[in-house]
Amino acid sequence: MHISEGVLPTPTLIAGAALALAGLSLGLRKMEQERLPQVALMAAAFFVASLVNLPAGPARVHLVLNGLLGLLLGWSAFPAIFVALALQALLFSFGGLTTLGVSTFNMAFPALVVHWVCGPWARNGSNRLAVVAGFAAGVLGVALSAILVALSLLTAGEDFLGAAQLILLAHLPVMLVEGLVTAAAVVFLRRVRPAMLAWDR
Amino acid sequence: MTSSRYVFNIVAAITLATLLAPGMALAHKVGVYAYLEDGQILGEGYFAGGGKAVNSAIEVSDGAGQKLGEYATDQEGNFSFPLPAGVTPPLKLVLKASQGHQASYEMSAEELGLSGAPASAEATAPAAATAAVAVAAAPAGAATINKEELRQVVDQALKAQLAPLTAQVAKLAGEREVSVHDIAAGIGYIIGLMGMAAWFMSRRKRD
Repeated sequence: MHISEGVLPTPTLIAGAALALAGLSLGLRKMEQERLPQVALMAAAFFVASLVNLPAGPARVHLVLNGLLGLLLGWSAFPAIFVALALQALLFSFGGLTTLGVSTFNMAFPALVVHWVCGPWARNGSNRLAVVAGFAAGVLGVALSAILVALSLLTAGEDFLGAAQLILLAHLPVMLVEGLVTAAAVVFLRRVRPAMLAWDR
Repeated sequence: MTSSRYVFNIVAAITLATLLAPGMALAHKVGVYAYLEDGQILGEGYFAGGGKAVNSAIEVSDGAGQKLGEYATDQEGNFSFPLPAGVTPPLKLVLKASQGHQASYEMSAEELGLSGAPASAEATAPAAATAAVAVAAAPAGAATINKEELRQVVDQALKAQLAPLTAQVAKLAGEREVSVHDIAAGIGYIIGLMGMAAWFMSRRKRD
């Protein structure tokens, strides 16, 4: 879901950069010092997850992990994802530097939605509910990002429904895997270190 | 303190797992390369790590930014089209592989055979120094065979021999695999940024 350099028109790039900047400044302001290692850890996980790829028809798709980042970081998902995307662009040539803002928003906003929608259930729900919330978080993060990417491409003249369908279909295996990974992470963290989830921000 | 040790263990585990995972290919970086053969531009669109970019649009424009045409890759990701006459180098090919994936490849004057030795003797292009060298290099001793004929035979044989090599070099020029160093560098940057943030935050707290 990395958008290449030169695909999107300039107004979209500027709008994306502005939204990402707003998210970044809020995310940095809300970040507590005690949580710093956790934010860095999740940034590293997001950075590396893009190398774990799965076959999807003719193309290959990779893990995103933004649902998990949303559950664990809340607003701090913005700085974590921004740093990871910047490093992916610089070191792996995934996406581009001009699309950094758009991509940051496309990945981090769904993380925030997941934090709001699934977070409370994953933290305070019964064990069974927490598993469902974790799975939903993994699926929702990727699905919302796919829709946002399709919306971005709409401004580049691609047909929205076609692009959304294509991206969502290609990412079905990713959604399944991320649902399972996120659910497993929620179960594990609730047992071992519930403080990592209980972050109401 | 136990919390930070726990976090450190996880980072170490991820790093180790990543470094040990063999042959990790790029997920979906898309690439395109092309080369000239007998007046045809041949090339391929591909996803680094194996897949081919099938049925994707190839937009061709010249050095002056003028659009020369639009072609498409076939079921194997290959495409070909004739080199337009009188093109201003460099020729720019843009592959559009949907989902926001896009790659481009530029063919310089040398790659298009426009600045090197002219392909035939009647080429009227201003002969560069290389052309003179090429003619001088052709052995003049053979009496039974016309110099021009010999040149053509050698030319053909060379072309046939070099074609696969040309294709490979073109592909290498467009592709760059992720290396272990890149991954280690990225994680190093993240740890460094974390250190910087921790330092700023601790200063803010003290003041």
